[in-house]
Amino acid sequence: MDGYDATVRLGAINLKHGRAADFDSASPDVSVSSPVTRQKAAAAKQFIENHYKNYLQGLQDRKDRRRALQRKVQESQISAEEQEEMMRNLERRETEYMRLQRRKIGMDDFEQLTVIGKGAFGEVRLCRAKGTGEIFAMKKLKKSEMLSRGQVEHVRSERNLLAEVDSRCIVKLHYSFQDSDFLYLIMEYLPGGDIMTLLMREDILSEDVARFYIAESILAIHSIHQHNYVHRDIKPDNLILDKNGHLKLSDFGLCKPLDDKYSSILLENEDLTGQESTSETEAYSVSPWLMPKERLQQWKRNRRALAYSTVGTLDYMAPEVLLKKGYGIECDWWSLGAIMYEMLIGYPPFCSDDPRMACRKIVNWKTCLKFPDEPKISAEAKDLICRLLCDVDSRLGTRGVEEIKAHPWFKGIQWDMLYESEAAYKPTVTGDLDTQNFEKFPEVDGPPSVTASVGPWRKMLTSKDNNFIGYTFKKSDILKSLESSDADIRVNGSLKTPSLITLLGQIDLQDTVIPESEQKPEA
Amino acid sequence: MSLFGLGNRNQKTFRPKKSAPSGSKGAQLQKHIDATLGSGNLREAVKLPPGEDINEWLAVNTVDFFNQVNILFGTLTEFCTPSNCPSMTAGPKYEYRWADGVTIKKPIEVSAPKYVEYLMDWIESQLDDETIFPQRLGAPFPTNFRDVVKTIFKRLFRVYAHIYHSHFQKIVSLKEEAHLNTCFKHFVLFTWEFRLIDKAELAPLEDLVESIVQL
Repeated sequence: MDGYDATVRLGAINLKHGRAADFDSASPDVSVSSPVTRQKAAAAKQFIENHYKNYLQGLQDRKDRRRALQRKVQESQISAEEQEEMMRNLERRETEYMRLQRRKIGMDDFEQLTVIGKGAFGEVRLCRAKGTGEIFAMKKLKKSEMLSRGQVEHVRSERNLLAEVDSRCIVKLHYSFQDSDFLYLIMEYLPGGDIMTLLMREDILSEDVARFYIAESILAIHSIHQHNYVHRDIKPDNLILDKNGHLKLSDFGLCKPLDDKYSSILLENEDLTGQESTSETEAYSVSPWLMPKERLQQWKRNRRALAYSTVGTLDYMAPEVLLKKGYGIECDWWSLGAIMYEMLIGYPPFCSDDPRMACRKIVNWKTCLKFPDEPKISAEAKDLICRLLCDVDSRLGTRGVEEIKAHPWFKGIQWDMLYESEAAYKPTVTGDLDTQNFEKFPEVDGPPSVTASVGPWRKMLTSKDNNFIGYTFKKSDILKSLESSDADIRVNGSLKTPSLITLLGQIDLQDTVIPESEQKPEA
Repeated sequence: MSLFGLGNRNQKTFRPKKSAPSGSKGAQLQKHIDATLGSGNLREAVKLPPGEDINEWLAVNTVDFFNQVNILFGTLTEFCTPSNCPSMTAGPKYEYRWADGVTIKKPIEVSAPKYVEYLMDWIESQLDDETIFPQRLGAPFPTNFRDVVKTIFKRLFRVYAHIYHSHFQKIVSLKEEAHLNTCFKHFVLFTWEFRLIDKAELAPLEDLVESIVQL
């Protein structure tokens, strides 16, 4: 399985664009190696490249922290003795952080709590780090299922993207590791649920609420595009809300966008684009709101189950992805247009009970994209949707994200203040362990499975699991790691907002020092 | 792990073979040796950060170098077999025998893949040993920590030496030479900065090492 083939393999997260070039320039010598060896080599190269990027960035960040503190202590006019004390504090915390970096993470470090997502490949569960009490979402993926369903590249790509992209618009990956049976992603827990849940509850959103979330989605999608990733599977269940209602891009659905069942659909290009008989033409041109009301309600009820199945949903996928033609980042803007339509109208523009029919509608969007008389939406909203659900060449975003942001529907949006402002919708969240915004899953009371073997780690990384080389990852926020070593920072079970001053403890400053925010503002 | 008599075992596990030196091998190496990942200034990256504990810095980098060698060698298992590499050699002049001083006290001649397996298992056991590489915050390093690190580095070097001498063409075929060179350059600069490997031990890749460390 050659990871470089970016045009044929469909998955939630594509490989970087640059890989396609590598594939084209492959040396004839490669034929002397087995596919397993080439796969190992590709994984090793990725591992090493990631390592040096993170290693050098880490050193630079450390220098920056030191320099920032030096600047602050000089400006604060405290005594030389107090200055030295502050520097020693920072140095001690950096040393502790460095030790945490090489500590092996495994299942024993986490207490498993409520199941919040379940699918064919595994489950997502709330968990608590035993050492710090921090709450995470643990995504647990069964290796045998990944292998048998051809999902290895998908999960590798997701893990690589999450490890690489550090953005407030993207759910944060803290650790990844594996044992003989499972892969584990320890991720930021976002208790607000997802946009699909919101849509199922609200039916339609007001234009103000929709505008807010479409705008935040644009920032999120753009942040992965800036890292040369294409998501290709943006949909409401991949848009997660934090406790304050702000949106982050993720892939909690645990679904496969394209199963073997649908390969035949995509292979029959003529069926998707060719002329149809009169009756069939009429059949797929039927607009969603003309479906019997009962069927539409049933479609919505099936929506959640579909998200967790191996089938997933193709309703938001761009036509060029379905047709396996060349595609680029523009396919994600199409998906956004479909989501916007659903937010304002109440269902996706090309939804159907029959997945094949949904594909045909998407491919024949020129005929099938229609708007009902009710509910009424503004002319600007309609215009924006039509500029996203259209040919690649004329689609907004093809020439840069700014042309989407400039659309009149977004008049009044302060793009650089979105994540600092109050969210348009405030989810109900009660405490750190609240899962009320997720579906309930019964706990399995069956006999406990045999504990998966864990050691030695090294053999997991190379010998037995060629497909999961380099999966282990650790990216602790330095501030969170530093906090964990100071129990007194914790107040009423919740963490204070971290700052250099807080981290350095009870040192009085003659002048007020404004803490430097670690979070870089989005461009 | 007792380090008593390490010198003696060193003599037994590292034995120069009497053969004609091979100049063409060096020429082949030099052709690809300049390829690296352009990973910034590695010379600066190896230096001890201000205020950092030396042992902590050695520890975190030891783990990184172990992982790199492990994953690079893992790409060569198809070629580094007992039949292709019946002994752990680094060119025609150097052969290594395995002994860890505990389960195998007397050096034994083993194939290269077997040697690397023994070696990596041994290193991992050191890294997992909390009395040597403490993981809990506040736990101290042992007084002989630096000696353990030096032994680890000496033995990791042997894997690089074997790869460069025996499998470099495969590395090139797999388009890994920039990655291998970057990791090795970092390894050499780090070991040079903290004097972790005796110069004599670096002899199998002397020219390569010289080209890396020269200012």
